[in-house]
Amino acid sequence: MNSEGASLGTASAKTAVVYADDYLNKLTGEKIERECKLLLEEGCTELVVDLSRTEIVNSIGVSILLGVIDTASNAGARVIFSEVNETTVELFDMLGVTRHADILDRAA
Amino acid sequence: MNDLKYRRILSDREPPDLIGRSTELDRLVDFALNGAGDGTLLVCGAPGAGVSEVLKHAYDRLFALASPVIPIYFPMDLSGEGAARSARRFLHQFLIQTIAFARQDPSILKWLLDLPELAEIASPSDRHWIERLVRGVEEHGPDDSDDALVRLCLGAPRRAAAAGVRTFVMIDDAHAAMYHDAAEAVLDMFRSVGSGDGSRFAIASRRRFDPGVVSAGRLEIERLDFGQTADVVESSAALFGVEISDEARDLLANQFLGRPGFVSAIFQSAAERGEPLDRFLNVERAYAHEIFGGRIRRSLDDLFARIAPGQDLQRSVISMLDTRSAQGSKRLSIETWLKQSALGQDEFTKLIDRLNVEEFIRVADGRVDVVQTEIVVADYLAVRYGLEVAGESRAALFGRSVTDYLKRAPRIMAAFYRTQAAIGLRTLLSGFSLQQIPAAAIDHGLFAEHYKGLPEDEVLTGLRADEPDVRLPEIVFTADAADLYRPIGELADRDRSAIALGFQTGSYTDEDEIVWIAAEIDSKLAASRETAEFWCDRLEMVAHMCGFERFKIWIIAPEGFTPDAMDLIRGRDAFGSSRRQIPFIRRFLMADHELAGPVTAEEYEVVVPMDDESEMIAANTLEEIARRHNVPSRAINQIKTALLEASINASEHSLSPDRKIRQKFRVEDDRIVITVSNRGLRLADIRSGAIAAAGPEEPGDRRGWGLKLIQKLMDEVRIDQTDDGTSISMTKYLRAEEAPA
Repeated sequence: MNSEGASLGTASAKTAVVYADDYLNKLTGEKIERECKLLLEEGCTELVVDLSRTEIVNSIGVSILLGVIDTASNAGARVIFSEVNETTVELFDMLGVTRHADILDRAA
Repeated sequence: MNDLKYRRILSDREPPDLIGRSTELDRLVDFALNGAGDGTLLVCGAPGAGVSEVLKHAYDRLFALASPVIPIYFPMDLSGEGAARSARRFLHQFLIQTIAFARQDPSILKWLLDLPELAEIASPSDRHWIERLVRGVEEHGPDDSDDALVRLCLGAPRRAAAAGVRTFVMIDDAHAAMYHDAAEAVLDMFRSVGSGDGSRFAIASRRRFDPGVVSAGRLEIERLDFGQTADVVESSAALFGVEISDEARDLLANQFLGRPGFVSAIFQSAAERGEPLDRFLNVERAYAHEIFGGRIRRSLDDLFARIAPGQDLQRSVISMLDTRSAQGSKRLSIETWLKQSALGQDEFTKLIDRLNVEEFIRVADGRVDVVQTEIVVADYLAVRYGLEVAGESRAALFGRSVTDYLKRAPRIMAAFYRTQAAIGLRTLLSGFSLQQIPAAAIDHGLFAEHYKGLPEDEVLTGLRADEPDVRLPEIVFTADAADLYRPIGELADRDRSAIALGFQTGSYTDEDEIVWIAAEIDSKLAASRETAEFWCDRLEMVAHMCGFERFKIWIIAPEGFTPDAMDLIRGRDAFGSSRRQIPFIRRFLMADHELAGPVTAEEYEVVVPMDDESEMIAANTLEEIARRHNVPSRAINQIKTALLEASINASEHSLSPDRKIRQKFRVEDDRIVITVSNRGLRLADIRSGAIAAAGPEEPGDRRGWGLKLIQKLMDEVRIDQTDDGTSISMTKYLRAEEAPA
């Protein structure tokens, strides 16, 4: 897991990218959560969670991501999930993640 | 049929004529030779089932094996001999059988030798312990207590064991203890001697008698069924040289069902009179002779004399037992029996115990039910009632009995044919175990609409493709409906109506209890609305009278029901099926792996610990398996996710004692089935709130999505509650149009 600053999105936005592991579960989800909180505290207004290496996500992982979206929203920031595979998009759709965050799937 | 070769020594029949008992005989012999640890084998059977004959064959077989284990057969005395005499008789039998075995000469068993003579002919290696035993008995003075003598004699197996001689002692007729105090004292001594190093015991008795011993196992000698009894009839006919026909054989097998001793008795008598048993008339005439004065009569008279000593008491008991003379129910209160028997409380208790153990009655809820299932016993009681209570002339009663038996014969055969043709409702209902079946399998209307006229394989394929929307309960007990509500027996034969108690979802709670009340009815054509209504009313009455609050009625008619009738049945929240549907229901009751269907199933099993991320090991294994079977990639990801969710459910909520998740993957031509099982708190109990969940659920918690996800990702999901855990079965159908991975 790592993160990096990047110039993505609008010019005024301070964007950071967080990379998720191959299996997004409670353990790895909490790592993302901690990383995102730190980035928000540093003033990030746009968090990109890169799921390019993520093969599979479980429901606990999704619930943690929803918590990250809430925290970001409260801090006035937005969350984007990028490089999301087809199954995970389907899962996000089922569990309502797509209603609260932007999803960029791997084909996009 | 007993195929093993050994000489007949104690047994009444040649080894090949011991019918239907090979498993029981094997177990008895195996216990004698290989039984481990202490404890006595209990051998139990219904009256007349042939327990003694099995023991005697075990003796003969062990004798022939000439193994280091010496068989000893000892029948307890039913006629009332004293304890000391019984004990001496035991010692005599123990020694003579030991010596005969050591010499491998069964003819010694017939020698008339006293104890000192037995000591003289014992082999040199055994003589020292035999002589000591015999000397001890001979020195027993008339003033010494019987207890000391009994202990000395019955301790013979231990003495032999101390000298390195291993014995297997079979005590037969242990229920003699119920009749005589002396026999009780002897049995008590056997209890204290018991199995031990070098000596092993089997104690045989009526199945309702409790010998009160520490048991190493229980061997049930079941009554022979119709086919086995028919074999006994044929073998008896051959043995005694009596001519029979197929029809007469079947009639005899029905009248003497499960009573090989009575079969022998009638053939022995027929042989003595030189009469064939080839026609119903011959059979019933010979039968009447047996009931009025033959071997069967003498055997039942002896039994009755033991149960109820004294003519007055016997008459009183016969009046209460005879069902033919009854002007109504033969279910009387214990108080009524006590009053009619005119006995004191202690004697009355003994009488009831004996009648119960000999299976003339069944006592429940303070009432005495007369057992009416055995034709021979009912006929015997009716004859004794006619002669001794009603004072009928013997000649007139004999003549009337022969004609009655003859008139009854076709009815016995008709009932037999109907039983043979019956569905076997109790067995069928016993197979209900939370399976899900398509409605068309059990609802005749849907079945007729979709599958009428189709060949069997097309029906099965269609039903398997249907949505399995009827969930069967888990049945835990079944009974003939007439056993719980006698009047229904007047409308339906015993085998054609049944009551099944169980749980609708397998969570053992009051709310989950359900009772199925089923009946197989007659109707030449599709049963009409009136017929359906008649049976719904009657079966609902059964539920009402038995106090069943939640019940389901199931009626099965040969040709099903008219549309009108089906409307009525559905309106009563009942099921109506045709006979043709029953084999299909049976197919759905089979365990998944037994179900014939799209074949070539391959199965894999993985057990993983409930640790962080170990579920991914199983998921990756599943992916590998799915790829080998060309499962489409999208389906693989969905299945993997479902597997992870099921595993998480198991880990999070179960408080599993072994912290293991068992996963089974089965790949068929058209589907992949995944079963995830674990021990611990059951999911249904947690969901219903019957048991608190392992972890706290917070308000607004985004957790608990697992099952919903699984249901969305998979095509079929079934949650089964096991005794101590949960099993989730998930099926994904593999559609041809999707690209393989």
